[in-house]
Amino acid sequence: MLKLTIGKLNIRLDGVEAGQVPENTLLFCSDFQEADLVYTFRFGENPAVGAYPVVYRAKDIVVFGKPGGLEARLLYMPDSHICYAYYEEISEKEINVYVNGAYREHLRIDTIFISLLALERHEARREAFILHCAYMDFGGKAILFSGPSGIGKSTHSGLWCAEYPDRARVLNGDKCLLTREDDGRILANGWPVCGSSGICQNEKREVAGIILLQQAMVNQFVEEKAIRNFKQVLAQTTVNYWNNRYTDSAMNFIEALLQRVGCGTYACNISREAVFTLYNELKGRKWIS
Amino acid sequence: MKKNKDFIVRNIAGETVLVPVGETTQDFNGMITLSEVGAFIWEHIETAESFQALVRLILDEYDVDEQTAAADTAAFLNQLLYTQMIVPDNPQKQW
Repeated sequence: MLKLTIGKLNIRLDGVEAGQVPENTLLFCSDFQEADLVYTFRFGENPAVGAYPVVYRAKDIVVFGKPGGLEARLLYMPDSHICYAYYEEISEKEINVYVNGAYREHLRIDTIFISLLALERHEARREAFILHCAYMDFGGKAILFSGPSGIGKSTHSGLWCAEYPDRARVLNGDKCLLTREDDGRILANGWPVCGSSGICQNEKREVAGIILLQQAMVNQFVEEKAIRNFKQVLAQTTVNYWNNRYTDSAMNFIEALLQRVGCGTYACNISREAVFTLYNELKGRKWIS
Repeated sequence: MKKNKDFIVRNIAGETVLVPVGETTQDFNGMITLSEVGAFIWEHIETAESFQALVRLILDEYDVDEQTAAADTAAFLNQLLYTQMIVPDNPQKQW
């Protein structure tokens, strides 16, 4: 049995041990009395898949809608169309996860294991959302470099760490979980998946700013219109669009996020000058000190 | 005309956007920003009894000549129909 705290969620995993799950997941081990969610893992058992309506289908997932707003999911290996797991919510708290016995070893892969938990769905219920970004600590606050894959998030955050080794540190190279505190502050939290960066820490920081990266010859920082920032941030946020309630909730969250936190577009090249230019822009706006 | 319920309308920082949800997201990514008149048409599309009635509503609200309003409205409705954001509903209505 394992206990994890990810964002504001306390989850208990029955039927798996520490040696079966990814190392990055173990960074989130904690202790608590009352679990918000209890997952029961079953290896090699055939689930009794109900005749539930399909609400979403993609090459790696089929989502079924169950009565009472519950969900079930068939999960497929992205390239082989082989089903590696069946996820089924029994109640709002209890979840069964049936793992194809042939894929037991694959649970050590971050993305495979976390996909079994449908965490984005449960975090969204608590108004927490996953942002695709390089999550960097700078002087105790979070700077989030966001944008599509390949745009240079890891490269740019790496340049900051090289120029400011005492103040800048990447906490996750690919994702963070955003939460809102009771006092309105937005926090970046660790997330147990970090893409190819290999950098994954379970640490939280108040968000100082979101930088939407673009590639360009000349370095230029622009604070765009609110609607443009909204679209860009939404595009980099994990949203289960098949669920209207959570889609609405995600958009409410991003609106609140952008009212609270600075956000701008930075068209830049890969250079030391790109770091200094942005540093001066952020400092001038008092996003960093 | 009937709005496709798989698009929800939001006002973001003073601008009206349509966001796809539900099954539509399998075929449609991103969101659509509506102009002021586009948002007006979206708001009244279900209640207007006919194309002419919708154009009259636009003429009452905006300073535009009838020919321009009719042409622009027709073009916009064609786009909405093509993307299945609206569908014809009541055959009694004269669309």
